[in-house]
Amino acid sequence: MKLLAILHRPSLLIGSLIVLLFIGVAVFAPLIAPPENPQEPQRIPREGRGFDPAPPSPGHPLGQMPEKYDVFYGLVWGTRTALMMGLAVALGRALVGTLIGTISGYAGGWVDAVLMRIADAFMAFPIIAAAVVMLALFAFERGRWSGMLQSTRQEQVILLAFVLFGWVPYARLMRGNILVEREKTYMKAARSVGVPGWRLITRHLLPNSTYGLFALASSDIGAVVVLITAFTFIGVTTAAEMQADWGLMLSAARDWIIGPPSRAFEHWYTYMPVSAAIVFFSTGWALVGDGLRDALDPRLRALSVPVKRRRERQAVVASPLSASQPIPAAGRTPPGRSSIPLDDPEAYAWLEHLAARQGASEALFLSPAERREHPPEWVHATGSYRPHEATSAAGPGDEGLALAEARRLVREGDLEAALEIYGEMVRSRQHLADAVQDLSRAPQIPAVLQVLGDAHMRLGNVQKALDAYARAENQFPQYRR
Amino acid sequence: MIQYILRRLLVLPIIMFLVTAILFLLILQLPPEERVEAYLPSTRSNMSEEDYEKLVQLTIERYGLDRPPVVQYTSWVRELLRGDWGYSPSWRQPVLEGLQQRAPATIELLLFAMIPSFFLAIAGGRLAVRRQGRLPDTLLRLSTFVGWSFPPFILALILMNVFYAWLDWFPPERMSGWARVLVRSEEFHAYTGLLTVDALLNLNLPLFGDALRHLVLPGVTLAFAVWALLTRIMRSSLLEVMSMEYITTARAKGLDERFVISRHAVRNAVLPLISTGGVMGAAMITMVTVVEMVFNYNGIGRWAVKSFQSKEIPVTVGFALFACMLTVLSSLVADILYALVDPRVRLFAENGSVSE
Repeated sequence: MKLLAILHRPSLLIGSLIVLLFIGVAVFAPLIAPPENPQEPQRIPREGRGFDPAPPSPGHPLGQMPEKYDVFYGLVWGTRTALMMGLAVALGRALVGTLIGTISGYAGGWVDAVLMRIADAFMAFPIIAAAVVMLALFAFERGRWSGMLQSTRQEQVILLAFVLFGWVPYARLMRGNILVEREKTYMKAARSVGVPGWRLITRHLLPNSTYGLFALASSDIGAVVVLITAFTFIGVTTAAEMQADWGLMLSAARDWIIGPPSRAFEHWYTYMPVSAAIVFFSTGWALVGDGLRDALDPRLRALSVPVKRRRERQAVVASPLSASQPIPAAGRTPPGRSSIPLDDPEAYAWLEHLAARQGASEALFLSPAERREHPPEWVHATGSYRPHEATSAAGPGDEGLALAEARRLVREGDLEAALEIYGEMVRSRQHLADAVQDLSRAPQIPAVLQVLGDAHMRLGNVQKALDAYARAENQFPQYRR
Repeated sequence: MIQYILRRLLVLPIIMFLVTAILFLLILQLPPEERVEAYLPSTRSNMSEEDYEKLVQLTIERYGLDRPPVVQYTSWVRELLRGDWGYSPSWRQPVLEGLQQRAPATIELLLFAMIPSFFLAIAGGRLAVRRQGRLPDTLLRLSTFVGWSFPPFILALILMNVFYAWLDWFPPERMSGWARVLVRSEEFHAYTGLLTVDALLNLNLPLFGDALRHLVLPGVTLAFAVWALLTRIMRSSLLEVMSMEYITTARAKGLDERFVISRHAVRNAVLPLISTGGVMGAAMITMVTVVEMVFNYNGIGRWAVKSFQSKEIPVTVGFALFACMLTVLSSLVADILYALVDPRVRLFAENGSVSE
């Protein structure tokens, strides 16, 4: 794992700092705010009498809530409550979602269809409806007309409701990942040597199918805590007595939030510190989730090549040309504009990836047999395009072996293989004019444009070469930056 | 197109069957002795313990609460279809009537928040793309991030403190006292249930103004979150579309950049926006419930939570069912809109080769 590279992203860095701060507060809560009774740390200490809140004072750095509960203590120990609830729900959702998503993706067929329809049904439940129904059914005291919510049971029920009605995104994510991984060569290899099914899943499939899982879980932790505190605030969950819980603290402060016009923010300390904690908690986890998604998503990672690497690539580009031919006055690579070298296998793979993403070249991703069966559209579309006739002036005998092979591949629709040969020809300065002629008619995807530009460059048509490079880059502005 | 819509409509009963099945499985976890309460009078009057036990047993038998689950499920669904969603003693009205009475308020609030944010999201995406990487884009990205991660109920508290407690511009609740009297009077005709529309239809401008004043704060709270999410999606989708070849072609034709964006790019970039709008239904109902509670806005969410607090299981279950129906319908509407905007969907659907 490239941990350091991850931290280069400012949003991820800020997010992880915020999250680490909250984790630190939760872990060291006994040191930051020592409880009066270590057996019951959730009980917020009170000092003094009366129902009114009290502004910050030396003994109470953030003031006192109504009924003289200490705000600072509640905030610190509430962090622990919030973190535990968020982690429990995210873990539960990830477990259930992974289980169902894996079964669905691996089994396929009717199992998959049924499971996904059930997932649709669970998705239809708004979490508030699910929470309210489950609490009404399971958290009220048993027995007739004793309409009291049981606080200990409530917490379990609401966490259960969040897991039960929140696993679907995880299942869909895992199912998608599994569907992709299942078809990869290493899976076929493992299957062919007779690895048993469960081992195949646990040892090979699952470890490789976790893209996006951690990103989803981290943004979930913040969102879940926000929802649970909101539910407590609006009175969906209650407690018999005050506890170190952000939602309970906010709902206890409810009557003091809206003040008379002249003193609208007079009792700010009853709700502002807790609100700020909730906002930072949610923002921190959202930043981490966002950042992880960007950093770990292989597709996006390809798009955001670090600056240093890009410079190295430019150097690679410049070298083969300058060694053999003086660079024209216009310059091979104008300042501020990078180019992609085709002799760098990594860059080439990356280009293909981009081309596929844009749907520009289906041909590159068909198997040879499929290509022969369904030649890509552009071969049909340019019906007049017959490379061997196009250069007939030069005589068939003049066609070098490489050029003939490349053109045969083009006729068969194997643009990928053809492009490799064209690239080689251009690099070794053979048949440059023919290459230009052929490539100009091929679909103008970045990979083609790059070889075309290289050919123009070696012919000395600097302007045309630069034009081709620019067109290639225009197709993925992310690279231009 | 009609064929496509019909095909989508066929999925509805399957989803609703599964939704009711999930709900019923949850209800079944309660023993019959507790479920029977829904059918018993809410006050026990002067009944002796033995008589009461007898009544419970009789009621269980009468409503078949101890019969096999499948039998109970079918009779429950039959009741639902017949429009018998149970009775709410504390509101003294049938559940379905209560829902019908309050749903327009919630729908009005949702429309008031969703429609402007949809168009503002498109405008925001266009701005971000035209000024990509520059100050407006950065500001927009920042504000969408804040809107997306800022808890709506805390925003609601802040807004209420500033615009109600301090400035006294926008009051909470759905309408003022005089408006409530007016709405209940003989001379007011409720055509749609949406207060703003009805006020206009009754040619009553003060009432219209009052309804708007009460919609602003909850509407803005909801709209900020929705707008932020939609703008994020619109921005990235528009950026992706702008790198397509047909955009290069459009530019090469010499078209004005504004024209390229509005005619060529936005129409394609708006597709993810529609599909997101469809799956947002469930989250919207959760948000609208919280917002209704905070602003004391008399919609179905507030009604459901209030009823839940007095252990009204029929109302709670009815609300859940109604909310699921809204979610499923919203995703259906989004699917149809998607097909209207994107001809590929309906064309492929008619060949029967579309899969989900």
